[in-house]
Amino acid sequence: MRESRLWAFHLICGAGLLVLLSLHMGLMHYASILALLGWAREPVLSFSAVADRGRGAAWAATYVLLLGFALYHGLYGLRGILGEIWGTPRAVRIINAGVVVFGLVVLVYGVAVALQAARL
Amino acid sequence: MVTEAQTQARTRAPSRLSMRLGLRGWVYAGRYPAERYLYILHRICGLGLVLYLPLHVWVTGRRLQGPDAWEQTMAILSRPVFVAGEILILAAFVFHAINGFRLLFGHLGCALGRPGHPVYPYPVALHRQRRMVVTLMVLAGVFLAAGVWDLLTK
Amino acid sequence: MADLTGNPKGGFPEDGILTLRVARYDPEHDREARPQEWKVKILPGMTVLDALFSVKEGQDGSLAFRCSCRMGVCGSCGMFINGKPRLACNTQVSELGPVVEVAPLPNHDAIKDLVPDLTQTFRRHRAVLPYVMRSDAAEMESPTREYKQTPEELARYVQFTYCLKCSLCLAACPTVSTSEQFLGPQALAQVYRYSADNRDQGLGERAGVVDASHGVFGCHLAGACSEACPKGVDPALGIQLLKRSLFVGPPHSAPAQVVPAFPEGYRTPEAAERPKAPPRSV
Repeated sequence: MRESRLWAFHLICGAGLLVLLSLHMGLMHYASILALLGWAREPVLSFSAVADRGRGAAWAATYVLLLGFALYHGLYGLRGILGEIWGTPRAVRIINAGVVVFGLVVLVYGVAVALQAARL
Repeated sequence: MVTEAQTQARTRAPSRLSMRLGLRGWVYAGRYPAERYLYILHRICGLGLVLYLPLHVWVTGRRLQGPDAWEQTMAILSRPVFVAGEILILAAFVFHAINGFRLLFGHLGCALGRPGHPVYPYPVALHRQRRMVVTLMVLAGVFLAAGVWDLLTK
Repeated sequence: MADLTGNPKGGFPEDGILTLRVARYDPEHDREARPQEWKVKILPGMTVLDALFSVKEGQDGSLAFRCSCRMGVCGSCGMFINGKPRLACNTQVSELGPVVEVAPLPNHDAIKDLVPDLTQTFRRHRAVLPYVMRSDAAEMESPTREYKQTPEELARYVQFTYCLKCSLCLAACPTVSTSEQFLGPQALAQVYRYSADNRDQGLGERAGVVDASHGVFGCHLAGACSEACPKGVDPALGIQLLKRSLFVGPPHSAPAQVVPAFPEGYRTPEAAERPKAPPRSV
């Protein structure tokens, strides 16, 4: 695939992450501030809260989308950095294969977790 | 008289001194303004985040083992060393996200001004972002402080 | 010596003597650079190149450096001077203080002393097809008239035409510091220079070279190239505009057309009103 397409997707994922990951971080890391504003109810990391969030197709889909964005954006970046250090065609092939395999493994595991959690 | 060794030395391909900076050049290469250092910080934070991601996915998967396993994992993660790590990850995220917002526009040639006839002192397009950079970094500091406060008061 | 140079920032010692510290390299004897120092008497308006000449003429004739125009136009004397890549002829010693440290350009091979090997820079420049490309090859080869270009159309790319190929931007670029394959800011800015020229139709062909991770997408907007550029080319701006062009096309929607020829014997209306030359007196 042309590099410009891969790169555009990197930017699109970055923009997606800005929205989704900010929501995720806002929920997890700014809970005390949200509580001050009267928006949060219980500790966000308690098992019941975590299990609650995992339930339902909408949450599961959001998490999978977030994971997909993060993996693509992150691994595209990693591929670029590694490619700048080892730039021979052979090294680039190995790096490309490595990030694809690594990304797929984490994605499959993450999706499996999200699907099982949705049924908890 | 020219000796054989001298002839060989002359016909040998001329040697060169490589001045390539290597990885050091990513971090420091001379007196440059902020953007070159935001670049390496962005890179380090991104690397930290992408390496943390699989770990995070694995930890969140622990909830499938039931409430006990989950609480046990959370207890481990509340140790100071992990809290410190979490603060680092939070800092990396806040910086990477806010600087990434700037780069998103920059990479598409937005907010950089238009090219024109170069008139001394020559304008540099990135300098037109300087006010935005300062504002965004202050914003990053505020978000980071709020996040750390949240983490430490949990 | 504010009175001598007219520059109050100088901060020179009272005796008007400059310490010139040069990283030297002799390919026949050295394996790495070795520093050497000389004292140079500061003269009004002295540039780093003048200081190097003063050493070469009066103290050490073996000192090697490259220069030609001595006025910031040819791009031959790029060196790493006090923490920044600069043109030696374009840098007043009064800007630098009492100690001037000079080394060969980073990210290049040094041939001898301060002479960098620019082969890779020119190879990269040639690789990106840096010339106007047209579909009307016949007109291009044997032009009937000029292509039309307005001042506004010229302003879109003219700053990128000032590139000297001095390689200072490559010395500043962090990506070049590790990647030999990266095309670098000089060549990429030239891709935009030609692609944004409304006489050109070559963006598609050049995209075949630069649409790669070692092409335009190896730029991460560190902006050091633009800081180093001695002519205000601002390669970082050109590269980001090039990225945009790869998605939305060049800034001109249609290629420039040949200006239509005037009919035989045509004179502009103003020509009739112009006063005639006085009669010959001799």
